[in-house]
Amino acid sequence: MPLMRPRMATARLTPSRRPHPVTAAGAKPAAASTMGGTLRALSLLAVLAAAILATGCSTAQIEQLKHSRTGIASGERVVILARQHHSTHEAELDFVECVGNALSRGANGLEIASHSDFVNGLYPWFEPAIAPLNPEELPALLARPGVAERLAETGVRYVVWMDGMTERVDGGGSLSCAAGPGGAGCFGLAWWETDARYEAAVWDLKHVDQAGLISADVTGRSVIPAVIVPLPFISRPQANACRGLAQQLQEFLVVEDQLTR
Amino acid sequence: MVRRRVDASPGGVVNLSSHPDVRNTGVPRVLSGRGLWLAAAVALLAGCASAARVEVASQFPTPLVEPLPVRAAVYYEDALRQFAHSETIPQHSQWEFELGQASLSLFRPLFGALFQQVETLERAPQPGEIPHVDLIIAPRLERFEFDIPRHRDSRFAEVWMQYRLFVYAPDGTPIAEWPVTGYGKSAASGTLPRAALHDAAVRAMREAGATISVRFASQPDVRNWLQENRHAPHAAQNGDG
Repeated sequence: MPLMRPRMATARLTPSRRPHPVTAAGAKPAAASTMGGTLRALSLLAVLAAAILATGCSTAQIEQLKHSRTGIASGERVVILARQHHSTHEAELDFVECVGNALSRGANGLEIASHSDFVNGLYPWFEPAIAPLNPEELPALLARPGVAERLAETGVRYVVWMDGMTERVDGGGSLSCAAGPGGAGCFGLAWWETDARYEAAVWDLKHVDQAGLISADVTGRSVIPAVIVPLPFISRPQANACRGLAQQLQEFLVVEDQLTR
Repeated sequence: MVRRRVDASPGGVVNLSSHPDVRNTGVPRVLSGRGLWLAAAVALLAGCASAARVEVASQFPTPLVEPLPVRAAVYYEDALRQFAHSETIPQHSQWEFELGQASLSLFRPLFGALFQQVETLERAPQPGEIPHVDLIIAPRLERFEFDIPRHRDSRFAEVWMQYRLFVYAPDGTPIAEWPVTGYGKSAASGTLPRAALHDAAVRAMREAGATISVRFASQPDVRNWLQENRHAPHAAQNGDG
């Protein structure tokens, strides 16, 4: 039974996303010089405004569920492992690395153990087909000859199982470009929506239990409007999910007194 | 999957040193003007015709298992040592895999950890030739399949393989025959996902190795033999997984 009510931290990213300074700065003079007409300049501004509004429709939802007290002592480490037993998906290696890097930075930076050293040192017990799928299997694993000793050597206290993926969920519009002797240009509007959805299950090897769950769901809409010059407004939900998840994980593991009854 | 052995043409190396058009400057005159275009076209065609080669090379970790109280001898047959697989994906690409050395890299530390004593045999033993061991093991790689992402929605290169372990008594009596499968997938990018296939093959081999190291002693025929010969493993040892 969870000792704590789910703590939800929902962040809505309203039009805070700024257009890329280089493309935005370069676009207006290009449009003005090429089109020359007031009407076209206005239409360009309208498209720009629509694009900025559209890119503002980016949402991030981070949820945390804490089962037991956490805290981390000097010399204790964290390892992040990607769940690989699903046939359709697995958390991307660069995402796992991103979270690891983010966790190790800052004032509360944690010591992150190398994923490959950990899995190789404990081979075969953390291979996808053999690894424990739930914390109830931990005691049996730790009872196996040599496993508890090897885990102690690694200094790892928390295993973070990362599950999820980033995928494009929707898209539309059309954008066409043409080139001729007089010049080249594009016209149209293309957009797509990307969803980065991840869940991190934190296992405490010291207390042989699941300490909690943190999930991140970030949706971002990317837009490329084009009137002569295409202006890409690309949202990066995976990077946002990485940042959000790492921040929550750091708080989750470092701050000891988060339990409320 | 269709299996086909393809003899790859040699890698397009041309010795120009004796060519009359090669002057003392060392610059072949054939590589100018139209010749340059011809050479480029030939190189392009040669590139299209040759297979993408994946030589699986990896160091596999030693399993963390308690060794069975058994003296074993392992014979790696030539078919395993030199295992290669060639396959053409219709209208897409042609692939060649080499897994012989990787299989040896997988099995040597694995059997070294799984048994109390292990020796490697250089040739197939005759019945009764090595009476000082309890078991003789001969692994074979009998199936290998792979796939690459060919559709917009598919993201993974995949490898599936099946080893078969033949277990004999020193007098040649068969004790067990155990097919062990391994599967691996890896996120791929590009049209020739060589690195992803390599990664997927290593993962598949690791999975097969993990299965052997955890479940060898619990195979019914092996378990019966261990019990009959009083080699039964201790509690919580490998074999109960």
